[in-house]
Amino acid sequence: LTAAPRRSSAVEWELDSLSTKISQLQKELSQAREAADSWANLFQAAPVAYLLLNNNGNILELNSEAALLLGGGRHVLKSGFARFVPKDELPLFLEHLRRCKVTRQPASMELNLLTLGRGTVPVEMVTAAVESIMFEPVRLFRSILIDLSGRREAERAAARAQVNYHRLVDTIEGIVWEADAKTFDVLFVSQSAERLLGYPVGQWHRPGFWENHIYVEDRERVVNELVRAAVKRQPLALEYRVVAADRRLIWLHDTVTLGDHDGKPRLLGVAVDITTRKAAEDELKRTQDELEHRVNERTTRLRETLDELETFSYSLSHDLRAPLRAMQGYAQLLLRSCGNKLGPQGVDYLKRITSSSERLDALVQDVLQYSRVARTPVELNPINLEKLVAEIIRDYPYLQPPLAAIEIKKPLAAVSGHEAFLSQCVFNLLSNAVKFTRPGQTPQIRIWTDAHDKTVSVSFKDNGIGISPKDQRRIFGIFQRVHSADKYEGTGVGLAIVQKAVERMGGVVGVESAPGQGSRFWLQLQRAPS
Amino acid sequence: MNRPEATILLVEDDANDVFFFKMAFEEAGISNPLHVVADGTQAINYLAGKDEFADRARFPLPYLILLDLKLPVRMGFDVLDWIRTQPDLCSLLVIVLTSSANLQDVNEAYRRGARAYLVKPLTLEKRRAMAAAIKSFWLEFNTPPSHPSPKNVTRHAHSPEPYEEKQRSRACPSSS
Repeated sequence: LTAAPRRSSAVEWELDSLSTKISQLQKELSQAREAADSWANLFQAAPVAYLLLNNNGNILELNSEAALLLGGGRHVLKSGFARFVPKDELPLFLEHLRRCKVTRQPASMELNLLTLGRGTVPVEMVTAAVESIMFEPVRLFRSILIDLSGRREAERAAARAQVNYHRLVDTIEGIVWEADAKTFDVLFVSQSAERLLGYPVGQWHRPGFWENHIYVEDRERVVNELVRAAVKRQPLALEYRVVAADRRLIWLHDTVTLGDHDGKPRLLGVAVDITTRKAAEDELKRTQDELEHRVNERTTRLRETLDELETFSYSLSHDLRAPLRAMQGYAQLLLRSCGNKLGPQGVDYLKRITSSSERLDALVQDVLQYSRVARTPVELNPINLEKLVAEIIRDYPYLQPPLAAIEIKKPLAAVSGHEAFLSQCVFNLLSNAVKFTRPGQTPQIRIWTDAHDKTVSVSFKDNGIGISPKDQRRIFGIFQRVHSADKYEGTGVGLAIVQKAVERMGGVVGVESAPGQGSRFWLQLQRAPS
Repeated sequence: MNRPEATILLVEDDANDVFFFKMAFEEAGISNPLHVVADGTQAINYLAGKDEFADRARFPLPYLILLDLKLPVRMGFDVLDWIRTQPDLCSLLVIVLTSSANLQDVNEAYRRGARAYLVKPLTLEKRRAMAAAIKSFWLEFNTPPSHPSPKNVTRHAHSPEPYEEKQRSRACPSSS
């Protein structure tokens, strides 16, 4: 029993060292476990799909992102990765692993992953061999899968946009162009340049091509305006002609803006063919010019006609009456000095010459009167009709009792007219009313007015011989007479003068009559403003 | 006041009218010296005392001018215009005697200095009546202005007063 304590001290030392070692190991283990957990967590939670493959391409481990990408969750463990690779891409995949293995460098490839849930997904696969001791074959691969579907979509959209843009630019019915703002050399031009002008797009890029093909008459103006626009940095719109490949002149409307490309000033423009519009404008202008020319020509002719008429009536008033005076004078002289020798028949002939010349003189006077009424400029003024009628009656005894009885139904409405013209009308109507009565009958005339909204009708009713309906239509024409001269004297111009004068004053004249019933002549005139 | 010596100048191109007026004047008892010229240029030459009219004793300045408007070469209006530009003649009595009763002619004639406007009558009776009226009004009742230039003028009994002289020159329309 005495040996026991000696053995026990050695054992205790052994035990102590063991337990120290154990606790140390336990500590290391827990540390290692913590580290492993941490790595595992990191591995699991990484935002990229992460795989561990063995030498045969079987999946040894995968994180949740990879499980999500491939579909099927952790069931895919141990299965070969090849099942996710399309058949035609398998050789590429095997080559990918082989290169990794041989070069011991990370390799990258793109493949269309056959996922279990999402169909084909384009991915980039980056693989690196897990480090192993030199000269020993590689046994493990770490792979990352990057989903490319988002990027692909963006690329496709960009490509589509590019295609659409070109198609758009090329189908625009106008030339889209871009040029250097200093040299005017074309840097881009759309297909329509060829369509519109006939020069292949390639030719446009030659230096000076565009400027040289602007029509020579427009070139300087266009260049000046573009230079000014480039300096002021202001957009502008231009119209100019370009010589097409078939030598036709094409009118372009060019809307130019200023741009910048890598600090170099650029001109950007859209030029539209306006040749048709220009042709239409020219045609319109030519038509207008022609029209104006024709109007001028006619105005000139009209003025000439008026001048001739003026000359004619001047001549009428001066020259035509001189021979009449001579006829009249010599006939009278002959009658006076040789009347006795001529006998009654000779005297009768001379008297006829005298009265004919008098009649012709009256005609000339009346025609002059008519042409004056037709030509004089008319200005309308308010006219006191009562005063005007009274003055006419006062001036002519044959319109007064006992030769005539004229009754005025007062008040007479004021009218708007030309005083001289209206006097002429009233005088002619009253003279006619007095003249065309049955022999032995005293003319009785009534004058009254009926005021309407904007007009006044003035009536002259007589107790004369009346006018048949057939004649009523004719009496207002010039030189129209419905009675023979020996029965009722007249030139047949009086009512024509009335008609023309009333017409010039913007009025209307008319008659109501029946044979033996007297006549009512009426003038419808504008009412004077009150 | 009777002026049997006052010269009358008739400016008339129509020989018939000249004939009838001479006759009418005679019948109306106008015995004044009557000179006839047939166109406007002759009328101006007469008034200016030029060429064949240089002898003022034979062709004295007229007291009254009867002027037709429609004349060969120079029209009646030209004669009126010319008279207005002559300071010595612008107070001459010019009576237009013409065919035209056109208001435009009438207004134009007065505007250019005519003192009266008569339309040639058609019949002998009316012509005689007009001649009588001319005699009575212009040759008897009317008081004419005094003529300015002593060398040209048949002077009136009394000399012009300075006031009258001033009035006359002011009454002369300018040629503008």
